Amino acid sequence: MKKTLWTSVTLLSVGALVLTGCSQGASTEPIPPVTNPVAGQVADGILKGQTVTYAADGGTTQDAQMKAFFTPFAEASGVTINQDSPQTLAKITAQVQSKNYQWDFVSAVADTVARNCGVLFEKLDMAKIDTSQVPDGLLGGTECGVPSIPYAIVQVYDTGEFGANGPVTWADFFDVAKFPGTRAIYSGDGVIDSATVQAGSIAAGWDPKTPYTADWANKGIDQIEKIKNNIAFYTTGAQAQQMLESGEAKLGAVWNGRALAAEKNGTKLTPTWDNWISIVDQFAIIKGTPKSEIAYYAINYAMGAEQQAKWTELSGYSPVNKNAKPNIDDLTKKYITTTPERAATAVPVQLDFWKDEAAVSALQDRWSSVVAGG
Amino acid sequence: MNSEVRPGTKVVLGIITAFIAVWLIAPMFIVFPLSFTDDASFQFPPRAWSTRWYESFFTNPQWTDALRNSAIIGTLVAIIAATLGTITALAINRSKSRLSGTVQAIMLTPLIIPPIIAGAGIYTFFLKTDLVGTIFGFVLVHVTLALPLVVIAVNASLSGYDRSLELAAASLGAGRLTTFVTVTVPLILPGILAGVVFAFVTSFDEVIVAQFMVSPALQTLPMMMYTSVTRTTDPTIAAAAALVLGAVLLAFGLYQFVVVPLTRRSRGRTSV
Amino acid sequence: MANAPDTTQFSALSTQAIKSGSAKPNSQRKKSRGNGTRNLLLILLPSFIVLGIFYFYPMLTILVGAFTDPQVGLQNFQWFFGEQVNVDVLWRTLIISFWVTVICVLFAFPFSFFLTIVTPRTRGLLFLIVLVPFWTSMVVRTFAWVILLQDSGPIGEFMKLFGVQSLGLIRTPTAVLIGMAQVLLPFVVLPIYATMSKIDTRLLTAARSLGARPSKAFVSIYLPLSLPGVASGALLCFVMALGFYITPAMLGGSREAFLSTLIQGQVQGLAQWGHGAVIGFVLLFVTLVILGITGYVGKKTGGSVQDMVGGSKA
Repeated sequence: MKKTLWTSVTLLSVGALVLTGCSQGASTEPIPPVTNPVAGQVADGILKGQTVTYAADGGTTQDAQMKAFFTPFAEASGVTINQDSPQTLAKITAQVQSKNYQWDFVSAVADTVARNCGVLFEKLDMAKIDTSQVPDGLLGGTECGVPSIPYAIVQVYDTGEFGANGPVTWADFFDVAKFPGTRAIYSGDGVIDSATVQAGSIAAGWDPKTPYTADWANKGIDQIEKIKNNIAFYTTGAQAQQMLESGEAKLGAVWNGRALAAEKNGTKLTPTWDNWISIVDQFAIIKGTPKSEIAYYAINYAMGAEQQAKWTELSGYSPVNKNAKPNIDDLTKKYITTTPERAATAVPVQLDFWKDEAAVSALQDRWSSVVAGG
Repeated sequence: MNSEVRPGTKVVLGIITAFIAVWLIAPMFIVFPLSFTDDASFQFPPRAWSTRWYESFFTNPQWTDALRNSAIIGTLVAIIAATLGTITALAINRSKSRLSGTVQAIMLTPLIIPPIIAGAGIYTFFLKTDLVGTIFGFVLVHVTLALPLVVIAVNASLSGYDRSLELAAASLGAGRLTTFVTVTVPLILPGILAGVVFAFVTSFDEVIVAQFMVSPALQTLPMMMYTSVTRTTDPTIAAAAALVLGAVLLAFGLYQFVVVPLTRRSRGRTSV
Repeated sequence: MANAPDTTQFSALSTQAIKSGSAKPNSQRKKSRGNGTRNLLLILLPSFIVLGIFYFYPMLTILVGAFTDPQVGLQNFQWFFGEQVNVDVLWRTLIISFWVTVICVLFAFPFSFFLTIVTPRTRGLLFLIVLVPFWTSMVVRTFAWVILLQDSGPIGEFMKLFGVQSLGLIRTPTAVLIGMAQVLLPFVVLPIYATMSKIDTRLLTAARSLGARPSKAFVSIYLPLSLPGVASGALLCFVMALGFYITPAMLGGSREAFLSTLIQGQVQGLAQWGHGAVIGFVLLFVTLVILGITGYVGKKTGGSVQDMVGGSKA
């Protein structure tokens, strides 16, 4: 019995190693360095035989990114591109610490990138990415990322519920007496959500033209805590969409792409763009990955006008290339955030404040207790 | 045997039992109609019908690869866990060592301790040993989670060597010889088979530790289903769920109505 | 059609030795045919190697982190007990697990009793029903509850006919209770049935012939005899419920978070391994304390912890 056991265990181990061995073959071909990058272009077959892995949030946005950016990139450059999700901080930390890389580059929210810049993410060599066509206001904030998704936390409400007399300002959003109903608010999946807190701060009286402080952040959380019995926290975009579609939430501070998706499924929503919070997700390269050069190629390719147009058509989120001419319907246009009209009322996430690890960790525990507390 | 239970009581109990039975199994059948929806949402009842989500399942290599991976992993786990578990159960049961109680407690630990605790450690461990996304690592971790169930199942059949089984068989109308042949002899075999099934299901359903072991190249079906529910509103998951459920019902039917009667007959022959 | 040996064998699943007293032939054989400790450990070496490397080692590296991450000290414990939310979630985990256990026992008791009074054929069918969910994916079953309980699900649509606009069940503790109890019920039915099937009903007949009313006979004789099964089923259910993650995550909202959910958030989202570890440590500690207490009580009354989870070694 024991002998057969050992035989089978040995056989299985050998089999398993054979099975997995092929996927781990590292290429020995040297990677030609990026020179004179032009957004959206890559030399044919230049990365033949190479592999690279991209990780992001998953779901419909990552599907769109793959279709618009990375699948065509793989076809053009000859690289094999793997994708994974979700790109959790735990896994990035473990990879950087063990120097064993499953992922090479990611798309993550800018404050996370900024907070871990130089530790978990590479400081980018901006000469390797053509960012000349990126709309104003989207670049900067951190040396470790370039914009991948510009989007919004925007207030929307059920048109059928409030009609033309719906809430307008963030103060209205947090006023449950004036506008009763359940609010869909992002839980951050356990992580403090800078944009949502800022929305609360505006309701509490913060003037976006003045510097953002921990004091204002706390006042923002106060606003959320105050109405917590009227909040349904969502953890993923899909949930936010379901809450709006099913009528579970009458108001929401949601991502523009999800409000759009809910409208496409027949839900009538009204967005109010007063002081909407402008968020940027960024492409970032994992600190120390031996494949950073390939990641530069991939990111540079994603910035092209054509790729960005396709991205917008697929996802409903805005392009990060001024010359992108997406072919989209009026409904999608309604939720595009990179227009001068929208820029006029936008409040960006205050990265200077949110990248400060110490300031944020003090707020984090408060956030957890509002989201998961009794 | 409880002839003294009054008919009225029996009817009330029957109603309660029927209610519980419906609550236990009926809900999951909803995935069958839902999987034929034409909408890209979980809206129920569906407004129109189609087979597009089955098409989506079978034409998307992510789903089919995940199904294949889960099947391979589940099978290997079932084989290894059943082997190790049977040896373990036999050894514990037959040993007169004082340590055997402790040994058993150790063996059962993974059933009792929340899997998330080990899961988080497994990711770092796998990175260090290059095991992330390998079938080898996946299988052995799942073996540890499945072992307790195999041990319990085999143990149950070993110490189930008692009157209750014989009584049960007798209550079916079996004579002494039949009781011996059909109960005592195959006693341990059902235990092993049950262990095999439990091990397979444990692996085939595991998400909590799996989320730390999957890689782009190695996704499993429950992971795909779980992320699909939480991150998208794509009814492909309903098709996947319907397929899994259909397979289980089929397997269960086969086991109950084909394997069991066959084993009994062949056992009967060899021992006569 | 379901055959008795099969189903009874399952019924023995979670509680072998609870029927203390009936499995004696086994332990007698043990004495005459035993191996020494050395042999035992030798035979179990493969299992121990696999368990040690792929389970205990990773788990211990995490638990140690509670004391060492980011630096050596008790700061993680201070953090855990200093943040009200952690204590709230700990209570919530205990309370929801408690109610799940109560529901399971309340359902399992009549169900199991009914199993003992029906014909073997009906019993086979009912066992099939108890076991099918046991053998099917928890993800699939929980997903089915998501569809059923959502506002736009069949129950919600049905209630709209009666003017109830929003069902409001999904993302509530009730939804989590319904889902968890369904997953855990088989774990309670099996031990209770195993115990009940061994109760000698002639005792009841005897009591009645001595003049006791049926209800009185039931309460004073049958109920105490079935208690070991109830206790072990309840313990198994409660302990397993404590570690639940998938069901609260899918059916509950952020305010139905369990300790496992918190671990997930601290580790996956924040990379706070020390915080995740300390929550894991507390969860483990609570589990062991409960097992310890029941084990102690069990010993006083003749059972033991392993009996509860299916050991045949008393």
